[in-house]
Amino acid sequence: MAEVATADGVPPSTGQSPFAIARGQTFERILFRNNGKTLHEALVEAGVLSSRSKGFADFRLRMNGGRLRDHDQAIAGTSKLLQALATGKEKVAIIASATVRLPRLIMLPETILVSDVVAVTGERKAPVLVVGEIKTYPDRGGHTDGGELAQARAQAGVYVHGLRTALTELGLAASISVASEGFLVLSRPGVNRPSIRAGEDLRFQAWRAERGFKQLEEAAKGLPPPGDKDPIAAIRGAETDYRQECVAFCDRAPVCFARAVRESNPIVLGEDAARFLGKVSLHRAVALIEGAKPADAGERDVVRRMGIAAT
Amino acid sequence: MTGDQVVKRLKAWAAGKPLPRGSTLHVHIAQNPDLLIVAFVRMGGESAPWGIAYGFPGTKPTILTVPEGRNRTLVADMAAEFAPALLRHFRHRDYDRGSPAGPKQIGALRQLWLPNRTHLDMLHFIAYAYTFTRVGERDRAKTLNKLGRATGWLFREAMRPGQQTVMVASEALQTAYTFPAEDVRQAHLGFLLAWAATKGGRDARLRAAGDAERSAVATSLDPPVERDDLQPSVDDWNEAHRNNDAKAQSRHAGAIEAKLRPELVRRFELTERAIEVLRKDPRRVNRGVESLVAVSSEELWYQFLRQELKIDDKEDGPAITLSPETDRHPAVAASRYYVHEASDELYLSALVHDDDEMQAEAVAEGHALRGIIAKVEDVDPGRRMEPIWTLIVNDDAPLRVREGSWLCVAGLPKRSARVRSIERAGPGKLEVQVEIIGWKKKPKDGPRGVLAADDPRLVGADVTLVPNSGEGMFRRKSQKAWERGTPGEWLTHSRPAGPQTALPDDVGENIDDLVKRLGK
Repeated sequence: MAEVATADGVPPSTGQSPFAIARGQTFERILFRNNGKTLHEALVEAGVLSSRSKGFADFRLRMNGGRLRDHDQAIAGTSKLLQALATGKEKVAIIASATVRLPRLIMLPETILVSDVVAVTGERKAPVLVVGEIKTYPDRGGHTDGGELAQARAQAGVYVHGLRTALTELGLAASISVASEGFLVLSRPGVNRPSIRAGEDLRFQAWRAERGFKQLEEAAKGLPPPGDKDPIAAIRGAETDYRQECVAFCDRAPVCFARAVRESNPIVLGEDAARFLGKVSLHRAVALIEGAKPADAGERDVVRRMGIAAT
Repeated sequence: MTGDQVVKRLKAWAAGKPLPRGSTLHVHIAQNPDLLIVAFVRMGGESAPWGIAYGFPGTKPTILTVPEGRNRTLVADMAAEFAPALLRHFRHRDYDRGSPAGPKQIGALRQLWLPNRTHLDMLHFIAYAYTFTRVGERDRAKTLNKLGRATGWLFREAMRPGQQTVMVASEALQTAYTFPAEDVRQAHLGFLLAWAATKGGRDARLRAAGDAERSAVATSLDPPVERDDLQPSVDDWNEAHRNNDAKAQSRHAGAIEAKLRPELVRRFELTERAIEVLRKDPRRVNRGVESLVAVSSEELWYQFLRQELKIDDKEDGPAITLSPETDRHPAVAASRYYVHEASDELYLSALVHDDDEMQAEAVAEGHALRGIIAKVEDVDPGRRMEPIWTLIVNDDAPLRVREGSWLCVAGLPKRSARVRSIERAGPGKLEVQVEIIGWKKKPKDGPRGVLAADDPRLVGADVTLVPNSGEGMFRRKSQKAWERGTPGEWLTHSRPAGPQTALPDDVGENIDDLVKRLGK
């Protein structure tokens, strides 16, 4: 999106801090070193794993501190492990970077999902995969940023959905299940020790992920076909739906905001203002505030509500 | 957002500039010597400061930086250098010869101003890092412990509704003005100041605000600044550090400082400008702010200075170093919960009596009543006065006031009333009967021209009844939480048990000691 923003004439301002990336890598290395000893202890303390659980499978790539060369190796290794778990031939407690390939949809290419960490429970019965999401930011109890936590849960939900789909593809859905509850691994403020938030309900996030994939499929229909000469022009020409959340992550937010201002879209004042005005444009709302006569029932309703609220 | 707030935002857009919010200002701004501005920057992914700017408005800020934000020793040294300034400002006995010895000696309220909320989070991070630390040289560790306790208290105090000690500049501006912009953008102090201070119409201000928000005000730096300006110097410094090359270290540290300094100064100066904007506002400060300042001064004593002097208090509990994480003892949690409830009640009730616009908002939201007194009668047959007012109010907004609700007359907080009945009185009208409970007679020490509650001359008068404050009740409950023999003692005085309650003393408060002292 940075390239599209540059083509729009907006200097890309987002991106990640190099120090933050390095910190994330260091944190993961600490969690997984010595066969995941630090993480195992924390998961046992948080009640995710039992103290008897053992075994560590590592599918991290070399670039992330692992041993594998590429995603193909990671996918093959993960599939083999899942099959071994299903038949009881192997037992592990922690899987680092479990990698699965989702089948190709009609419009979308095949998708590779790499789950940060998966804990394997159900030692005496069928194995249960518990999805975990690793984040470097500090866990400050009730003061931890709610938006960031929601984002982490949403990501974990994608992996729950992805693992379930992959197990079905592998024909293992009857012998291995994926728990609807997962866990978040955050850091403790000021130190590189993990803080586990166990029992995170991911049911609805998994549903959202499933629906999201379907929506992506729909959205993909509007994309230029592979090999298109100018995909950036096609993206620039596509319709956008600006909202304030875009400011946090998209380089094109200033362009879409400017367009919303030009189009007199009340979303530039936030979703509450957009909901309040309904189909009435910002331009008309200003005119109504300045005393213009309402043109239709919608505008009459807005004037009535403005009058009441402003009494 | 309420409907009223949406309409105000639309009106601000129509006007092409921020509009005053409220007919009075709801923020206390201390005199310059009592107002310390602090701004931080941090390295991406870290939760410790990389640089600190602090100083008083109108003066050059003191800038502290370290070349490597991940080096805990360097950061701790910097924090220890910053500590005396903050502790002196909040009158810690080890740094202020005139440190108060009781709640009555606080004097003018000392304030801390921060650019935006991420800087407040940094106070919390500092509390986490240093409240219980024992690392390093003993004296430095002790200084850091004090800094940790001070920042921990400041962070907790900032969460108390209506407090006037820790001011987040972006939020202070939002309290004073309605900005024609989305909520997310309003967290950016530069964005708000561009809207407020740029000359010209909507387009000019919108453009200036858009430009301003390109530069970070949060504790995090812009990724390109870190990537292009700082990372090479940090790498060089680390290399020199590994090689024990003091000369090269000093050179690279200077280069890093030169990059961090303008970032810190910009954050400091934006905060200074926000204070200036508020000071230049022609509106007067709401009379209720005085009560909020008084409570903030009390909190400075009871929650910080008293704790530092290790003085137990019958009504506010034993002195204890609280963990930055949470309240681990039920009595502490209960007491602070009620203090927050009391503060919330006080915040609204203190301000609403001196702000017509707030009263209108309360009426629009259905929390208050505005109408005409149609009838005044004294229903007590004897000498005891029992005045009943019958009001006719418009029924054009949802009403949240119910029979039994406690209200008081706007502008006369002591003239309290209880709603006896609410009946329909024709199309678009309600008849509300209220019994006057407080200040029934003509008050001797009240404002001029106030009539007795049963005076027939009140008929035909416009009156606004706003919610009555339950502050006193919650305050009493917060004090009761410390007492034995009260309902709920089984909970407030039980010893915390279960997983994760046994903590090492470098992580959480000393619960055993607290239990022992509560048992006395």
